[in-house]
Amino acid sequence: MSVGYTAIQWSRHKRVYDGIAASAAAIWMAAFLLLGKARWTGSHAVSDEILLIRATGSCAIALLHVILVIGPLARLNRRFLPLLYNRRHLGVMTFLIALLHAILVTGYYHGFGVLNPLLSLLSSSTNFASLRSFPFELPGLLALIILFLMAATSHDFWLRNLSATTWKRLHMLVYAAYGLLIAHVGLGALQNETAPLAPSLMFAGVLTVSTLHLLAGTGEVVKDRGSAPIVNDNDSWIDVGAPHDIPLNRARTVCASGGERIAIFRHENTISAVTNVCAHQGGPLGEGNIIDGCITCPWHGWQYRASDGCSPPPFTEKIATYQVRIIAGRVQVSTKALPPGTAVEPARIPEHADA
Amino acid sequence: MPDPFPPDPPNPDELYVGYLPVPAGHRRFLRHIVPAALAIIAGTAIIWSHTHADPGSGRWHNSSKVKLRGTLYAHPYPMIATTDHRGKTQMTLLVESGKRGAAEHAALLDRHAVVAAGTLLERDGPRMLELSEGASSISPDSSNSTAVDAELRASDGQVTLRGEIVDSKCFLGAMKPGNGKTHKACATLCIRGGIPPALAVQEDNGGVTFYLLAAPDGGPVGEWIEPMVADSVELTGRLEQRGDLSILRIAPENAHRL
Ligand code: HEM
Ligand code: FES
Repeated sequence: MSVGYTAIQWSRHKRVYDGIAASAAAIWMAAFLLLGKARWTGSHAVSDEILLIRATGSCAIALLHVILVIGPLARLNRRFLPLLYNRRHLGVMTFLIALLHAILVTGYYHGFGVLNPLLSLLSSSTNFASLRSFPFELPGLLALIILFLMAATSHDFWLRNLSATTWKRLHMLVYAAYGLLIAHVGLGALQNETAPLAPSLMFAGVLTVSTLHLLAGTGEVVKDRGSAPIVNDNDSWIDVGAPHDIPLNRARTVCASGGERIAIFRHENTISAVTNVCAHQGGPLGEGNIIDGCITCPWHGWQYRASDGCSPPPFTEKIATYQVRIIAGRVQVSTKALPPGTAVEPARIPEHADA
Repeated sequence: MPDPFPPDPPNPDELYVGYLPVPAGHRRFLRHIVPAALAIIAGTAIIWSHTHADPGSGRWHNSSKVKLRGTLYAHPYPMIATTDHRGKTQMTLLVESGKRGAAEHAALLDRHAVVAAGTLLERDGPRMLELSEGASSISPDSSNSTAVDAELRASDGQVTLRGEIVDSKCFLGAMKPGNGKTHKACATLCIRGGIPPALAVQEDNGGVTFYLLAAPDGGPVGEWIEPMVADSVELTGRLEQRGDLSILRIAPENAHRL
């Protein structure tokens, strides 16, 4: 995306990322299988197939927790952003391990019988009214379908072909998948438990995911409120503050009354404004920097010129721009979004406006 | 030494961009956070792997083939009566490989002297033979010296028992664990395929007692049992004994989910 783009650097980061993710999965499987074999031995040993089913299921849900906490962590501290960069590979890996889990279950628990294994999977219990005998496999199957849809559409090709909003909505289904998996484990494996260890573990996972989302969410709301600007001229211009309140090569984000966020950047001695929403996956541009003269998204590094919201050639992405002006030493931004890619004359900071 | 966890924003002019070199501050942070994350993952796996419950003492001697000589009883489910070395009558349930019962195989041989070949499953007493593949795994025994008398001994009156309905093959050792909620679907498939259903009753001393289930007329239980598999149930019926095997005759109206 950048003028400084080179394929080698790009793939090196991804390789390191994938390598670490694969080692995490390998550590999980190895620890789980070895300790599982040591836990009960001799005539009390757990079947290898069942150990594998449990190792893959638990590994997939552990990876899903990692995926779910990276987002809010990166919101709370920018230094987690490198973990976000290649998160989709983590998603694909989670799907593949979950798929292995489902294949093992279907082959082992539903195979060798008088029914087609898939038919057996879908018909083994239909007692939806009872929590005790609810067919917990079904929420697992639904979650697997969601993980599949996400993995299959994770490539930017689909992002372009589905429109960013549809794609985003599709990928928000990860929370539905998470809920379904809590049901899958809660109505399945946890019902065999008499000891408090397994339920505590699941509780800790849900608590971590929801606490981090709440913290990151409250942070956003406070930021929006904190930047609540003075509204003047019939709501159409809002006050952003003095020019030097905006850090150099970075932005202040304000929230217009309609709820859309606007990122106002200071670059050299000019001010320009664009939408806060990246055209890629909606990353917060206002938390990015200006690199090589371009606004750079903190999520995956897509770039846009501040002057017209267009990606530098050969790229063709465009984002909405906003008019800005400086009146009596105050930056004001229009709340009316201009069509993506509209060139706007940046506001020049007068010499004497220095703080 | 520089603080590896400086407050956010650490150095706001540093931005991580995937295709550019990692800024020094991010690099430092990642050097701590990645090993920490791997340690948390390993720790969680270790804790989780301690949650496996004891799957019980069922055993499947599936590497050593045995031959049993005795008298076949086809009802409620095929079983063979043999005499152990102390002269006691011992019952062994017969099933096919996979999740299939041996009713068809055994129907014509009721109360005949037979020889059956396969592999043994056992769990603290109750036993089962998985017949080898092929029609010859069970055949009339011409030597006829092996007839074992294991007629039913009925107790009078009703008993009420609480436990879990299991498929006998997995419970006796084909799968470990071979019971419980996570095994429900598999057990249902087994019972549909003719594997004898049984009631497993947890005793106060930690042991488990095994009761083969039968219909009131002494035949196989019937499909009504399938939705109750793996749930806690209370069954009321007539108890009888064939050799060392306890059999509970139950009617659907006397079976309740707890
Ligand atoms: C078609 C889809 C699925 C089916 C049929 C299925 C079936 C099962 C079954 C039968 C068990 C019990 C295993 C046992 O203890 O013997 C189980 C456990 C589990 N499954 Fe799934 N599952 C599916 C999808 C998923 C997915 C997508 C995930 C996670 C991403 C998942 C995570 C788990 C976990 C964490 C356990 C508990 C493992 C343990 O006891 O330690 N499952 N599943
Ligand atoms: S959201 Fe991916 S680069 Fe902005």
